[in-house]
Order: sequence, then structure tokens, then C-alpha cells
Amino acid sequence: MKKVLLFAFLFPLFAMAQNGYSEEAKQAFVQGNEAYNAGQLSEAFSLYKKATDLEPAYAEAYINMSAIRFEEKSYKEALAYGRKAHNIEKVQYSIFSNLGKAYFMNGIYDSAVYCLERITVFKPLTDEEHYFLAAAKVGAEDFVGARVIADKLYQKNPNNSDYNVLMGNVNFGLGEYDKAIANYNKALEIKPENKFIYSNIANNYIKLGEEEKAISYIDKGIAATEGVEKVAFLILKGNYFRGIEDLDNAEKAYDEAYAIQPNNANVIVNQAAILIEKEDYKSAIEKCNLAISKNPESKEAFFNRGIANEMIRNVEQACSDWEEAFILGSEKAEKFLNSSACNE
Amino acid sequence: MKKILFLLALLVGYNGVSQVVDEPFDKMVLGDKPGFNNAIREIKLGDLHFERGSEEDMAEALPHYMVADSFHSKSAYLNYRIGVCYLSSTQKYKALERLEFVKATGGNEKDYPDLDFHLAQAYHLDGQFEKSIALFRGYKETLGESDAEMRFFINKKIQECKVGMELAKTPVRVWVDNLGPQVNSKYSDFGPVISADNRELYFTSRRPEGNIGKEKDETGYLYEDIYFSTREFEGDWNAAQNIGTTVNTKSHDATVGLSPDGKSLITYHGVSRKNGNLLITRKDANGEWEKLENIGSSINTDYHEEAATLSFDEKKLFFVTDKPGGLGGHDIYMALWDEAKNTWGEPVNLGAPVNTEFDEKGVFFHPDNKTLYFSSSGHRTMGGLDIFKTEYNAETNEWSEPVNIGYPINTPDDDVYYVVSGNERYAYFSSVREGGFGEKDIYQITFLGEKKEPLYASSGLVSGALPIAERAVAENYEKTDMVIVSGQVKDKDNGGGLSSVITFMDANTNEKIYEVMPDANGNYMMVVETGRNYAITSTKAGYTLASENLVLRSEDEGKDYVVDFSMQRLEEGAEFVLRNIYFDFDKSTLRHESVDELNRLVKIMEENPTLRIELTGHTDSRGVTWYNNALSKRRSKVARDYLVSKGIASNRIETKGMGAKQLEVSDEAIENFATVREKEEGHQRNRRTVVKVIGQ
Repeated sequence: MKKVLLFAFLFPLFAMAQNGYSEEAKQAFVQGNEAYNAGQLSEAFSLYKKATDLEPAYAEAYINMSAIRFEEKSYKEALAYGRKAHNIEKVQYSIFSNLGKAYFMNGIYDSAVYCLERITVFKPLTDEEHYFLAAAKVGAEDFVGARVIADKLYQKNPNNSDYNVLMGNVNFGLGEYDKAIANYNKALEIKPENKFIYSNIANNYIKLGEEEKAISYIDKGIAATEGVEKVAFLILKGNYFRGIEDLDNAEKAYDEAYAIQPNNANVIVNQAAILIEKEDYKSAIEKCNLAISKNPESKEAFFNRGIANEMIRNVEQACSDWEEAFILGSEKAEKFLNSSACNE
Repeated sequence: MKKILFLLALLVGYNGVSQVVDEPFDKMVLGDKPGFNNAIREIKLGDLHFERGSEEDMAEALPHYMVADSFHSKSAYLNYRIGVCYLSSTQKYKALERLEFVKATGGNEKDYPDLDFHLAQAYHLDGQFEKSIALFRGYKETLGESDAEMRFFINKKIQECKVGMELAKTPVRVWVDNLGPQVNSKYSDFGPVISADNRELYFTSRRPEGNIGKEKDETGYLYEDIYFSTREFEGDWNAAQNIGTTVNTKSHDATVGLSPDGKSLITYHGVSRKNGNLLITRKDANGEWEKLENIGSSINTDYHEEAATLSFDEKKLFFVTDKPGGLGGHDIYMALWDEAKNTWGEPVNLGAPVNTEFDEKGVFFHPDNKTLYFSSSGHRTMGGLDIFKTEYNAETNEWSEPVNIGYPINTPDDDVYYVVSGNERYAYFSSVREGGFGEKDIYQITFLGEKKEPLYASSGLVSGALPIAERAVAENYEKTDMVIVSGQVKDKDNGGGLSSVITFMDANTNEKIYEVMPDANGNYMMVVETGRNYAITSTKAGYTLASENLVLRSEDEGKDYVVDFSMQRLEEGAEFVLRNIYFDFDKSTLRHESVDELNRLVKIMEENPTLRIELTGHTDSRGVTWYNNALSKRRSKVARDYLVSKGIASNRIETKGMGAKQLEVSDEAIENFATVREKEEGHQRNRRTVVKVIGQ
């Protein structure tokens, strides 16, 4: 039986691929590739830009612009250019590879898995692509699928700190917390400067119910990091306090994170969640709106806005929010959507 | 000096330290004010009724007291009497303020011997359970040995307060809304019943608008009439209307129950104070209510039948009566419809654990056909009648222990006549509450379900950011007309993955375009060019053939297709479909592009020389039956002839034609397809040759 898959991030086709680009555009593109291969990222980007200005459907140029932004760690832009390319061309190796990685770095794991898995129709995945695929599967909570790939990478190079972290994340997902902590400690031994690993260790101790150890790693991380790197630890700290129903301290931690990184949708989502728990639904909706403006694919933001909308008796909008959250992959939202609240 | 005193008075007032003082109706103080004599006269008239002590007398006394109260409201005596009257009325919530005033003035046991008892009741009704318990306990101490009945009553009240405290700790998440002026009036509106789909509401009202009889009973209110309101999907209730003279009479007519489909309405007809009967009316084919009739001689007695509910199939009737032989007070009974006699059978008392020695009233059987809601003053109530639910277990033929449906649906006052919509999102009941339109109003409960916990985004598990190993710089794309095809090959018998060989042939040219081997789990994924009609087959030695067809046009570029295969071991009974056997339109001439799939079948027959098969031809549904039958038979024979021409013995092949008798895609489904292409693909799936292994 055959069926057409609904592409999780399907966009309207505004233009079909066309290789009949103008000579001038082609020339700019070729020069862009030369500059890119020479490591002249800024020059390359300008040339690709010129190519797309001349030919707005120049998918190859867009995907290379995405790759440049990725290399520059501008992941949001990398994703935007990757999507533009994919909007024009659906089935190309470089699009699946670059867009998949960009999705991963933006925390959109299902789409990352979708793209990265499709690389295989062109050629075997590189170690790097395998790494992103496994990490994306962890993000998408397919820990069994992630383990198959992570195991192979780890066997290849057991002294790679990132592979150890990946194995730790897989073990965490599979509930093997002691193994995960051992993986993280080994990763730290290899690369002591990777302070983010403290947060992974803290997550494991929370699961093990060893809260004192967890909070000590969180505080260690907060002390050892600066600026944006601190945010992950503050979220963790907020979630820890929320777990012990200390809403005021949880709110304090999220507010501190927000002050550092006001564009972080996850932080805003958690601020909204606290407002919901404190029954300040109107403010929660405003926060969710803000989170959605920062990350239109934040299922948590839609889910929470649904709860807040229901509580201010805007049930129709609540159901619409849950529908959006469901489309973005929230199983909990599906339960609400199927309830009598959304089905008269 | 006067100025100083005035200033002091102001300061005291400002600080809010004012003492509550009893200011009796003293002629020396109030005698000069106009209306004093009238107020005294009204108090005396009120006292005449009050001293008699019945509920009706209290109702008579209250208006007189209120006239006096409008003249002077600071008398402890008057406030006490007004408070006690309110406790007997439908506006019980107004009692507390009056009785607290009396207590604050220093009203004591000597002047008001039952003040603490009444105040305890008022606190109970106001949900101030701890204060209520303290006062009830104190009052109990004052009782003599002979007050056993009162002692029993107070113990029950204390128990109710304890239940109230417990239920209030875990309130049910609901919204309670007055149904508004479209439904409610300033007169008594009560007894709501609804259809399961929540589109029709019937209730009882004493409003003058539309009232049939326009006559008043001994209470001074109009006789009750039945009204109804309707609503559209997701809409509000429309303005209520009198149900009309077929159902309403000049006397009392009250709603009791409605069948889930809204087509049978049970009403109550009061014969006397102690005798009431149930009547029923049904909607005719035009949607008009028929004449009311007695619900049945086995149901109605000389006692008080007052509430009833029908099961979804209208084969069970639950009703309430206080006829002798029950467990005490009003009890719930059930009767089954006797098809043979076309009447209700002999009712059976539901017994324990549903019925108690106290009253069970206001019964409602949910359309789920197992949940019975009812009110009781005998189970664990938080005051008066509370609503409970019990579930029927068809296997054990038992009712579960009734459960209090919780606060704030239940309150310390009487909660009765409660109906729930089919999807259990809404319920309706009547109540007298602050902010209502007057007297009883109909309220809607919206159930919110379990508390919805918000989601917290996690900082989650952080992954390392791998350094970029190698730049994958895109060159100009050479091919742009591609789709991705993926799927799984499964063993039909055990569901496990199969590693077979999947071949994509161009169905028009018989040219092999792609060949892929799925992984050990049977999964495959590949990129496929558009612009071809693919005949796809999955083959594996010892297994049946699996075949699919996939037409890819240029507009399909970029889509993802899933093509799964299910294969069976070549054993007797195994069956598979050949989807790429083509004939000329309306003919039984085999087309050239069919040979690949038939050749694969030849190979299977050669590799399994004892295999015997049956070929069954199927057509689509276009064309007349006899023609399709003949065509499908001819086509299966043509396929057999091809196999025979390739050296397969004819006695190994049987043929059948099914015409359009066994469609894979129904005509209705095809009709609902949006595009011509989808419709054609639907017909294509129906045109197939089924191969069945009939011997091995």
C-alpha cells in the first residue's frame, strides 16, 4: 500500500527549481563556491546573495548561505536559508545535510531526523551527519534509534568527548543514569572546558532523586559559566525548584535567565508556565505569544497558551492552540484535543 | 465640647472600631419617626406566623419582618427572626449576616436560646465548617437527656461539616454559570432535563410569560408550566418558550426526565401533597408532542412518584417513589420494558448500596448506559441532599458504592435534579444563588477535567557541538525531478521485517530502473525520478510475490511516498496480488508491459514445481455486472494462457472471475476523492489479479 507522507515542515512552493539560471547568477555562484572553499565566508556569502538577488529560486546558493551561517554559529539564519532552499528544492543531498543540522541546532528535532535520515538515499552519512542524527534522535526521544548510531560512533572513537556526551544522553534517555554519569565524567576528563556537561550530570542526579548532588552540579555550572552559557543552568535550576513546588524561586531563576537571554523561547515558555501555576492567565498568554514569536515551533508555548486560554474561557482558541501543539508533536495536546472540551 | 465629641466620633469611625449595638424598637427613641407604628404592627403580624414554626409560616412571616426592617434594621430581635426565616427559605445564604449581627450585639442564650444552633446552620450553609462544628458541639452540650432526636440531628450535621471540609480541600474543576436571561426569569425556574447531544433543554417555570393557565396556587405563584430552549452547535441557548397546550395544562406541569434522543418527555402531575404521578409524551413524526399519558399502572401508585429517567434504548426506567416497602424515605426503583405486554414491568427497589434509610431523589441515568446520578441525604453528604453517582456492573449485576461528585457541584444546601450531557462536558441543575435572576435559576456546569499542568521546556540534555569536519559545498544541482520512496517489507504471518529484493520497472517499457535490498528489518529508502509509471515488485525465494504500482509525474517532485510490502511463505492458502497485469481498455488482450510481473510468477512456479495456484481476476466497478464478471474471467484465463505458454502445466492453474464484487476501494471512497487522479488510482487498485496458493 502506498501513501504520500505529509512532510512535517511542508511549505508552499513559491517557485520550482530551475537550472536555467542566468549566466551572471551562475558566475556569482561559482565565485561564491571558490571563496567558500578558500574559507572566505563573508565574501562567499555576498556572492551567493548576488546570485539569489539575480535568481530568487537559486536553491544551491541558499543552501550554501545556510552552511556559512551554520559555520558562523548563526543557527537561526542557517535554518532560515536552509528552509528557503528546501522551499525550492525538496530532494537534494546538500539540503538534507545542511537543513538537518540547522534544524538540530534550533532544537527542532523531528525535522532534523527527517532530513538527516534522507541523506542515505544519496550516500552513506558521514560521522558528523551520524552524530547529528543520533543527537537529533535523542532530542526526538527515539533513544533506541539513537543508541544504534551512537554505539557505532563510540566504538570508532571512544576518546571523543562529544561521543561520550552523546552516549551519556542516550543512556539517560534509556534510564541508565549511572552509566550516563560515567559517560559524562569521561567526557569531562577528555575536555574539562565543556562546562555544559555539569547540567547533564545534574539532570541524571535529579532522575536518581539525589537532589543535593544535582543542585551542587547546577550551582557549579552557574559559577563556571558566563553569559548565555549560564542560561541552561538557570533553566535547570528553575525546573528543579518547580519540581519541589517552590514557584517563587523557580520564577526567580527563569527571570534571571530571561535577563541574560531574552530571545530564548524556552526561558519564556517556563516563565509562562509559572504564571499559569500562579493563575495569572492573561500574563501567561502574553508570555506564550512572546515565546511563539521567538520560536514559532515551540509546542510547549502553544500547549501552555492553550491552558491559559481555556482558563480565561477562550475555549475555541485553547483548542486551536492545542491543535497547533499537536501538529508540532505534543502528545499531551492530542489528549486535550480529543477531550470533550474540544469536541462538543 | 460638642466639637471635640464630634471629632472623637469621626476618629472612632475612621479607625473602624465600631461596636455593634442592639437598638430595639423603643418608642422613646424611634416613636417620633414616621412609620414606627406600622413597623410594630408588621412585627406582630410576623410573630403570629413565626410562632407557628412551619416552613410555610416562616415564609408568611418574612415579608412582614422585612417591612419593619426597612424602617429600622438594628434590632437584634428582628434580625434574629429574619435570620431564622431565611434558614427556612430558598434564600438560606441571607441568614448568616442577620444571625451574626445578633451574636455581635451580645445576643445570649437567655434571650435567644437557639441562636447558636441557627448560627451553626448558617455557618454550615456558608461553608464555614469549623465554626459550624464548634457551635453545634456547644449547643449539643446544652441539650437534655430527652433531646435524643436533636442530638442525632446535630451529630449528622457535624458529620456533614466534616465531609464538607474534606470535599472542599479537593474541589472539582468546573465552571458554574447561570444560563442567563434567555432561559431564566425572576420567577422560579428549575428541573432542567436535556437531550444527550445538549441541543434541547426542557425545564419547569412559574413565569407569567407564556404561562398556559395564568392561575395562581395557594403560594401566590402561577401554576408550573414546562418550557424549552434549543441551541445550535457551539451556540448559546435560545430564548425559552412554553412547550404548549398539548403538554401543559392549567394545573402544575413539571419536567422530570427526557430520553437521550429528546423524543420522550416524562412529566410530573401532582394529585395531592402526598400523591403525584408520572406521565409521558412522545414526539410524533412531525416533531410535535403527543398527548400526555400515564406512564403505566405498574409505576404510578397512590404515593409520590416524582423523578424518572430513561436509558438510551428506552428499555429501562429508573424512578423515585416513597411507596411503602422501601428502605426509607424516597427510594430509587427500576422497571424494565415488557415488549410482549407493551408496558413497563414490575419495578424493583435498587436496594443497597444505592438506597438508604434517608431520601434518594432526582435520578438521572447517563447515556453511557451504566452511570446513575442521584441525590441523597443518606450517603456521605456535605449537607442536605448531595448528588452522587454509582456505576452498574453488568457482569456482577451490582451497583458500585455511590460516590459524592464533589464540591462545588455539591454544596451544604440541597443539591438535586442534576443532568449530564452525553459527552460529560456539561451538566445542568437548578439552585438559588447570589447574583441569580430571582428564586431558583438553572445553572450550567462545565467540567474542566483534571488540572492541566503546563509544560516546562527543559534546558534538556546538551550535546557537544562537533567542529565542522568538512565543508559540503553545494554545486549546481543536476537532477531536480525526484521523490523519495521508503517503506518496509514484512512477513505477513509474523509481522517481522524481511530482506527481499525490490525492483522498480518502468511499466511502459519493461526496463529495470532501480533495484534495492532492504536492511535486515525490511526497511528501505531510495530516491526515485519522476515521469515514469513504476511497476514495483518485492521478491524473495520461498515467499509470495508482492507488487505495487506507482505513477510519478513531474508535479510529484519533492514528495515522500511510503510503499510497504507484505509477503507470505509459499504455503497453501497464501494469497498475493499482481497489480501490474495490464489489458487493453475493455478488452482481455494482455499488454506488453504485463510480462515482467507474469514472468516473476513463472519463476516462482518453476522454483516450486508442485505449486498449484488459482488466478482470480477483478475489475473496477465501472461497467455492468454481467460484463465485468465475464471480462474478469476472460482476463484471468489470458494470464493463465501466458503462464502455460511459458511451460507451466495448465493443470497447475485454476481461474476465476469476480467482476467488481470484491472492491479494494469502495465506490463511496472513490467518490470522496478530491482529484480525478486519485479517483483513477482508486479504480486502478480495484483492477487486479489475485493469486492464491491452492496446493503445494
